[in-house]
Amino acid sequence: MFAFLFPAAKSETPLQIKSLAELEVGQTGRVIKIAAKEPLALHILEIGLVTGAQVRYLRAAPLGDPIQVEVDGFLLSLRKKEAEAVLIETE
Amino acid sequence: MPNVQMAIESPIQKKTFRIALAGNPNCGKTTLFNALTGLRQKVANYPGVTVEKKTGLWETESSVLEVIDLPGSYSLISRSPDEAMVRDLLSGFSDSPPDATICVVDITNLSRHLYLVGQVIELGRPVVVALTMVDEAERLGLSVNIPKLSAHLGVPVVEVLAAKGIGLKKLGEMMERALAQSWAIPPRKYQLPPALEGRLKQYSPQAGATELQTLLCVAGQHTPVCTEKLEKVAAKVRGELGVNEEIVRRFVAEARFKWQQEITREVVEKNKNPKADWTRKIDKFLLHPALGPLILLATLTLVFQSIFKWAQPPMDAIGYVTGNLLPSLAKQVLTPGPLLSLINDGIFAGVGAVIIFLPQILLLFFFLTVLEDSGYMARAAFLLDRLMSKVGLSGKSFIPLLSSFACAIPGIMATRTIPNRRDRLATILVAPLMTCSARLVVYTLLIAAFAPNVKVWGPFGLQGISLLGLYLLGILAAAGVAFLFRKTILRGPTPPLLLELPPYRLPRLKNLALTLLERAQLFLVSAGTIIFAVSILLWGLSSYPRWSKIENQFNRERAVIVNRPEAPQRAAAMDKLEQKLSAERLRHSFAGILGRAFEPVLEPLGFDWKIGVGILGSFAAREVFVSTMGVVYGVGSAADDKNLTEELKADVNPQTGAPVWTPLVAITLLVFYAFALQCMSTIAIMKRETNGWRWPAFAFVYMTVLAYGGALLTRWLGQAFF
Repeated sequence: MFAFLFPAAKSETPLQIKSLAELEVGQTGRVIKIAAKEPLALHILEIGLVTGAQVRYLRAAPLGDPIQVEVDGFLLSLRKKEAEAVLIETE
Repeated sequence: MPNVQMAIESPIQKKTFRIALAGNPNCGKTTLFNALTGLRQKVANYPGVTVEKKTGLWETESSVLEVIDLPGSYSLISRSPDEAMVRDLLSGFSDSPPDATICVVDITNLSRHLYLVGQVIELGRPVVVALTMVDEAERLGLSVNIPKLSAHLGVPVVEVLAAKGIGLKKLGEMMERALAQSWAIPPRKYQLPPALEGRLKQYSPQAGATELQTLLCVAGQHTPVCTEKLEKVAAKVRGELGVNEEIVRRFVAEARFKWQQEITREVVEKNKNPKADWTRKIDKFLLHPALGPLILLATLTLVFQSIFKWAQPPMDAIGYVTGNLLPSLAKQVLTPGPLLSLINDGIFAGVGAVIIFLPQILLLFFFLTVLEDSGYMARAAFLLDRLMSKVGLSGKSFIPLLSSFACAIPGIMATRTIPNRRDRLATILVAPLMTCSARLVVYTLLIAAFAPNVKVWGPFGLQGISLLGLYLLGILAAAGVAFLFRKTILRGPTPPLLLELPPYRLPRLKNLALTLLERAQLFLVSAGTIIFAVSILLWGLSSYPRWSKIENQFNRERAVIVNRPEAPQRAAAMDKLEQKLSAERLRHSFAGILGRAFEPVLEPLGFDWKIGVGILGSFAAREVFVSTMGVVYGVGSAADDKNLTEELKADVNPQTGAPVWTPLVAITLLVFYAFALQCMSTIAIMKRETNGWRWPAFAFVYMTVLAYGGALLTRWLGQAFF
């Protein structure tokens, strides 16, 4: 009841590694690796989803796939299958 | 005194150059192209590729520049037909390379867009960078240090606001200067892995190449600089490093992006608080799980409703001109005879039947351009990708298929945005299965004649449901056929969907106007020439030969009527006689003979030779069926449908006395029309878009088989169960 008086000490949430497909709505992170085979990896890279890019998961399409993400200020849509290859360090 | 006259300058001959306009998708390239060239544009097809070549003239201070507008592309390492074309043109594979290139870069996406710029610079010909979306950047609180950026890139950089004409003059000056000086490739600035860097230094002099040239060959970007000798050196470098071309390309791409990010950090200044970002807010509604699909449905309904409704008045007007005004003018000028008949029944009737669709096509392109330029099209693809991928297509196929409900021609033209070749072909092949507006004409006639006008449930009548059923039949067939093709002849891995969702922008009126103008021109020229020829051919086939026996008999009957006293009845009798004559002529014409020759093929479907003539005539365009039936049944080609339906119902088989047109015959014929590719214009556009006769021939064969098989099955089921 008085829990609000005793806020849990903000623990240092350890950085987590997830695939882009696994992020929750609104979650942000940085791309650390594109774990896809060629030529897909280069394709992902060339569109701007590069190592170090800041991403935010915005939403999935009404039928669950594809997903919409924000990457360094631009909007990208990709299928979950491809998003699984993009590894993210969440914040 | 020197002669004053001498002081007047003689007009200097301006130099001409070819320059290319390259940039990422949605970078504002089209707006810049339209601002530079205005109405001096033309569209042609590249030889050997499926992409249109758009060029325009841009006059600067002392030169005339032929500007080639290249399709938007992310990279010179090609993936879509568009990107392959960009690479081949810029590196000089397909044609002589352009003298210089303008790289168009969206200032709000500076880092990413510099990737293509870097690649183009390395091709070794002059480059000027045009920064667009300056107004948008201002709104977002961004500004770019131009001299610094230019120093980093080693090429001139100009800010432009194309829609307002700002910066264009400066762009022209920069271009002229770049074309006038000798050009050297600025040194490479991005860092490669040391092992690779070292080998480039070591081996390049041996091959007599620059480090950059060696690098391009090691990465397998086979530009014209890759001589046989250099390819050998490149293979050696890869061997020593234990890598393949793809890995090198990735090294290079990563190195470039790192460098791009560094210089972007350095040259972009974020000033004040950015103003509200509309795109994210609008997306919340338009991509909402429940609202999104509803808004999409509402938008599509509105588009279709408008296409049918708004197109009607101009279509009526064109119909009046080609159907009434011009023929009656021709009648006043020419005496009745073969020439008048050729002009009226052949050219005006045939070409008129096609150009009547121009308003619908323009309206459709109006909506398509607005949807595309506003950024909504990419959202529609996003919303529907899952559904389309179930049958092996992607979200990008949705709009072309949607357009095909109006007409397969713009639908097939719209497939150019599909990057994957197999996806695109599958879409082109099934697009003609969607119920187009020309089929609607045939459907309406037959349904009105043979489906009783009874209510089934609530406001829904049997006639409306029949029509809906035919639309669904087309959609289901398209889904099934697409699925089948993607599993067989167009088998391949599902291409990835990496779709940029551009910010919402207001469509530019100038772009819209130029697009519509270009579409009208293309439609009238390319479809018009074929239709013109086919119309004449069809007219000839259905008017000749003339048999003197028939003509003489009618002349005798005509003489009897002329001698009758009472005027009003005489005119009516004369009309009836003329109609009978044209029906009789048709029966014994080449088309009639051909129709009767086809009777054995059509007999299993329950069709007689008259329907055969209608089907043959339909190959020019489906709606010709209605006018052909009109002629066959001797009610005149301008007859209203009601008379024609009565005539159809009354027709009996001369041998058995049974009616020719049973409801089953009508249903069978409807199924046939739902599937058959009876449209010269569609075949012509397929040939143009796939660059050859192979795919249109294939589409024709599979659809004819589907139509015949479907009709046969329908008849068989109908006879078995009813």
